[in-house]
Amino acid sequence: MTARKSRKAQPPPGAKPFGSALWPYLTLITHLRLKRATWAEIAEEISAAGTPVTRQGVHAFFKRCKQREKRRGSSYALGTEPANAEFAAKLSTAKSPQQESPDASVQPMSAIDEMIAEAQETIRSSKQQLIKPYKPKPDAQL
Amino acid sequence: MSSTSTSSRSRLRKEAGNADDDGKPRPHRIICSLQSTGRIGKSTVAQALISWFGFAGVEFAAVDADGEHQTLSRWYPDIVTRLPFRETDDLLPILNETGSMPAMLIDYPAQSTQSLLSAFAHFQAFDFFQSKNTRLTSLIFASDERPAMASAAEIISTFGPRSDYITVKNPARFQSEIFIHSQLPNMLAEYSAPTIEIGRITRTTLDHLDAESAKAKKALTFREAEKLLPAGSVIELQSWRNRLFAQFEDICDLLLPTEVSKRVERPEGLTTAKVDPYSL
Repeated sequence: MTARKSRKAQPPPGAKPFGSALWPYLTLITHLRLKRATWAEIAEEISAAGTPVTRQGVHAFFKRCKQREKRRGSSYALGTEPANAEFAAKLSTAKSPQQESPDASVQPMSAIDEMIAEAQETIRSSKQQLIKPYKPKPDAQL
Repeated sequence: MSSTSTSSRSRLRKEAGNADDDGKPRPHRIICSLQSTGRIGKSTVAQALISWFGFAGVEFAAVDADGEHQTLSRWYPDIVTRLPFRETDDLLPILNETGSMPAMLIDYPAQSTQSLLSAFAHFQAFDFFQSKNTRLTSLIFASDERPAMASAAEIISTFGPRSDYITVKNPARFQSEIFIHSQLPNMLAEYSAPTIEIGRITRTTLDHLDAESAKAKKALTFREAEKLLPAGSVIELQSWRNRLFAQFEDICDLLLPTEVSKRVERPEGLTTAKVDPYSL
């Protein structure tokens, strides 16, 4: 007689399906990876942005993404991550400044280019982080 | 404990043609250790300095440039800015803020002396510091370990009189015998570097501290832990801090642009009496 397998705990009815907290950072991860940043450096960058994560976590997430892309035969177009949904919607309705330009030689910027530019801006602004001064009260017990 | 008097240091700085003798305000300070050895007490000294700045009510900024361990920012997440040093560019934010506050404390990672020295050279940091009336105070840990001694020699030879130095002895973490008998004390004496000594904390107190930190799920500073430790450990930590504060007050001209009144009671050490039993 074989022992019955214990049932996997089911989520309560109406629970939200799981979604990785790293989806908003897919563009950033792709961009940093293209810049040959290490997983540890990427994890540090993401943690600094407010989502604590380990290097193994980022690696596993990115690998899973790439596997899914391969399986479904198309890439997760950068800009479709949950955090960028607003931007993706804007893209479908509004024309980019390049598209509006009367100069025919100006090529429209793709969603990927825009997202990469945005990611670069994020990196730039995080690097320009001001060092905060601290003025303690007299006899502060630090 | 500081081995060199304040007056002789200011005389030496006068000879080196530095500020504070021509009516200029005393320079702001950037305090850091660039040495290439870990586990020598760099972050502990930084913690003590933050605690002292708080005690003295002095405005300061603290930067945790050690992206791997993040010891200082774990102790003071609300006070310390995380700015990991990885490449030359990472010195820029520090330079941008130079001169904007009386003291800036930076906890650099180990193994980065070479890249830091080249970053300093790349940005001509010392000319910039001078233009902002700021002076670097380098903490030199008197460790016998070869990388510590080699990087100390590199730092002193590269910076020369452009930086001020403080020798730090930490007998709980390292021996200083070879260091003392090397050329390094002479090099440091040339720049009139005072010596401070970090007291020893017993293993029992440190174990209590670790246990309380684990319970609180946070790296507790000595001050935070004091409320939770047994009385004996509290006394030990208080006297450890007092001894360090007294030494910081003695060398405050190397740590702050302003004079600080000496408020810490100098603990009187018990001297062991030697008695000849035959004379009794």
